[in-house]
Formats: sequence, C-alpha cells, structure tokens
Amino acid sequence: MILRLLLNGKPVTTTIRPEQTLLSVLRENLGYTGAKEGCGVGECGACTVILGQRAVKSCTVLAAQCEGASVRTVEGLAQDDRLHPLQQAFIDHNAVQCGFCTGGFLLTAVALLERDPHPSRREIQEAISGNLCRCTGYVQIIDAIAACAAGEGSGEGQ
Amino acid sequence: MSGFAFQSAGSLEEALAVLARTEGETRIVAGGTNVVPAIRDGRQPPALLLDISRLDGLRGLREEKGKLWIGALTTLAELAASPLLAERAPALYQAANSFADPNTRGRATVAGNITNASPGADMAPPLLVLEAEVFLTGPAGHRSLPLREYLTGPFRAALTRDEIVTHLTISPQVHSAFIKIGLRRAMAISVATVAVALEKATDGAVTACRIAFGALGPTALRAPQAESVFLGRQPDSALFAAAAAAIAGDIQPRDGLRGTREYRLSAAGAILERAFSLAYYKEA
Ligand SMILES: Cc1cc2nc3c(=O)[nH]c(=O)nc-3n(C[C@H](O)[C@H](O)[C@H](O)COP(=O)(O)OP(=O)(O)OC[C@H]3O[C@@H](n4cnc5c(N)ncnc54)[C@H](O)[C@@H]3O)c2cc1C
Ligand code: FES
Ligand code: FES
Repeated sequence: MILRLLLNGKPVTTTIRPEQTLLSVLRENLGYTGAKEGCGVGECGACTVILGQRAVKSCTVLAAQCEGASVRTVEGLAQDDRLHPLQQAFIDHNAVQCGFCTGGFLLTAVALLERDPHPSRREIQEAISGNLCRCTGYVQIIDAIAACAAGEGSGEGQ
Repeated sequence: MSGFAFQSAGSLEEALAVLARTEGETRIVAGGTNVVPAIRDGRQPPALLLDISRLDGLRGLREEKGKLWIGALTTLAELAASPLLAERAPALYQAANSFADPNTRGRATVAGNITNASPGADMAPPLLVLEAEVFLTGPAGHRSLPLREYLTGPFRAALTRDEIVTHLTISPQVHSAFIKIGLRRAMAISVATVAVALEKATDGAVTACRIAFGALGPTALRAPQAESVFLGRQPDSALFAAAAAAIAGDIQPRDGLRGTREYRLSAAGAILERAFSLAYYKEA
C-alpha cells in the first residue's frame, strides 16, 4: 500500500506493508536512520519522533495510520548548517555520550517546549520519563533542556 | 489470511460493515500500543488491521446528565490533562497521570486499555469504582454493560468480534483516589494498584464505599469484604488494619517477576490505607 507523509516539511510517498511500524518505514523505506531502534516495544524512547504536534515512540505506531500526517525527525532539526538551539544546548551541557538516545530526547524536548516554552525542572523530568539514557545520565540532559527553555531560543522547530 | 491488510474506517457504519463481513479475521486498531508490539512478537497473526482512529465521534470527555461521557478513543493524555476529571473523578485522573509516560499516553486510548484487559490495566480499578458502563455497537444495535461484566478474564473482554466500544460513562465521585506501585515511577507495569470511591455523612461516617484492586487477580477486582469493613464507620488505624486483613478474601495475588504473593498482599493493605485517606479527606 501507498503511504504519504509530510516528512520534515517535505511531501514523501512510499510503498509499505500494512503491518510496518512508523520506525521501520522511516529507517528502511526512507533512509531516515536518526530514529533508533533500542527496544522495539515502546520502552526506551530511542525511536521518538514528532507526529502532528506530539512526540511518539515510532516503534509502537502503525505506519499506515499516519497517512497524510506530518512527521518530524532529528534530521529536520538543524536549519542548513545551523543547529537547533536544543541541539546546541545538548552539546554545551555535555548531554551526549554515545548518542543513541539523543535524537529521541531532542524530539521529546522539542515537542515539550512547543507546548510549554517555560517548563519547570519537574515538568522536564516528567516529559522525558519515557526516554532512557544508559550512559550520559539525566542531569546534563535536564540541564540542557532547562537552559534552552531559559535562553531566548525556545524550541520553535520549523 | 496469508498476510496483513489495512483499512482505515471513515465512519462507524463502515467499520461495523467491515467487521461483519470479515468475521474473526479483523483486529481493530485504535492507538496501537498493544496491537503493534503484539505484531512484532508474533502474538498477532495476520489479520485485517481496521483503523478506527479517524472516527472523531468516538473522542471526547464531557458531562452529560450527571455522568461523565468518555469517548472510546479518548487518549490517556487527554484524561491526564482534563480539569473536569481532576475535579470530578480524581481516581481516574490520578490513574491517567501515573500511566506509562507522556509520549505513550498520547497514543494509548481508554477503550483499548480495558478491551486489551490485562490484569494490570491501569484504567480498570478507577473505572470499576466509578461504576463505569461500557457502550458497544454491533450489527444487532447498541448495548451496554457494567465494566465488571465486561472484564471476563485475563486479556478477555465481553465483546463479540463484530462489536466496537463507542464510549463509557462514569458516575463522578470527588471522594475518590488511585495509587499504583510499580518498580519505578514512570514506564512501569503495575505490581499492585488500588482505587477507592466513597461517600460520607456529615458526621464523617462512610455511607458508601467502593474499592477495586489491579494486578492482584485475573482481572481488576472489586473488594467487597474490605468495602464492608468501612461502611457506617469513621476510618482509624484499627479499621485500616481490619480492612487489610479482609483483603485476603477479595484478591488472588500471585508470585511473579515483579513481586511475591506475600509482598503483594501486604502492599495492597498499605496502598488501600493511603488511597482511602486521600479519597476520604479530599475537599468536596
Ligand atoms: C511502552 C508501553 C507502556 C505501557 N504502559 C502501560 C501502563 O502504564 N498501564 C497500562 O494499563 N497499560 C500500559 N500499556 C498498554 C497499552 O498502552 C494500553 O493498554 C492502552 O490503553 C491500549 O490502548 P490502544 O488504543 O493503544 O490499544 P490498541 O493496541 O489499539 O488496542 C488494544 C485492544 O483493544 C481493541 N480495541 C481498541 N479500541 C477498541 C474499540 N473502540 N472497540 C473495540 N475494540 C477496541 C483492539 O482490537 C485490541 O485488541 C503500555 C504499553 C506500552 C507499549
Ligand atoms: S525502540 Fe521504540 S521505544 Fe525503544
Ligand atoms: S548517550 Fe548513550 S544512551 Fe544516552
């Protein structure tokens, strides 16, 4: 079957199997490998992308249900060679080690700051509670999101 | 069926017609948070995946004739953010806020949770104590049944293969509360949950009391023996001890990966006391 998406603002069309997940379509059909498969069953958040306005775990989303939807991935965050403010904040706060979880955290944070530009530290913790990081630890990640929210550059996306 | 197929229903009538035509070969998909992992694990054999997520008439949360109307497709995120629920049915509001994480809540639906009918389904205990009624539509028309009759066993719900849940209704109760024990605060499958809803007289005596436990039996269960301990009384530590002892007759906790039978039984008594106190002392 045919699936049409608005992927990082650009219309794309691809042929999918009815049972494919959004994660598998992004990675295998479209070559967008920024969304990672950690667990494959919704537990780790490495596959997080923004569907419509909300961050979702793309490994638990049936791709066929996304017909016509807007999807944003980590590949769409930087504008030309300018990093998204959240990406820069992650670098500035040493919030990245192996990087496997980073794309998922970034998209969860982008969706959070679009919904609520000035979340409390508690609200940041709550928002990222479905994203796991096995090496950096959460303090730097929370610091990075909080700093981005406090600075002039909020996560306005595109 | 040799492979999966997919169809997105544009109307309830269309969805019902597909179900009637394809009999057992169809799997309804709402948020997909149970169905999609089941496909990956091979627990869901090839089927026609019938997408009902575009049926906007099955969404929403509103007050109707003294009850709260909750559309089948209403997401856990919508419940968790609802001021109406926070004010009128705290038990359900608190359960939604302790469910998984905000990103999973944005997909997971309330009808999907009770229809998947896991023994630990977090919506079931609060819905049981708020006297939820489940409304179904099928080829024979509409019917409704109390949630306690809808949950027939582990991963079994009383709907036929050609029926769709359209909505639920609950009786709001300010004096209600929910507590969940998981292995950590977010993203945890429940080890034990409890919901309480009660009414009290001006002198503080409990005049009505409903208690339900989750993850402590084949389905979420009402606890009639513990309920009767509180009736006509004002809670104190002796009464909580009596209720904790009565629980053993109400629930059937099992040894499992997330806790032993003994642990679950004593945890159930402890969370009952906390949830009961939250519900009892809640300002109306
Ligand atoms: C990472 C993760 C964390 C989770 N955490 C929790 C948790 O904390 N607590 C908890 O209780 N559950 C949890 N779950 C389980 C799941 O998210 C919930 O049960 C959810 O509410 C299911 O809703 P859904 O719309 O996604 O269901 P779907 O997967 O779309 O459907 C579930 C079942 O219900 C049927 N169905 C759905 N809607 C209807 C309808 N309107 N009429 C008839 N049949 C219908 C489907 O055919 C299927 O059998 C978790 C799942 C994941 C992946
Ligand atoms: S890969 Fe999707 S949540 Fe882990
Ligand atoms: S940086 Fe390695 S998992 Fe988070």
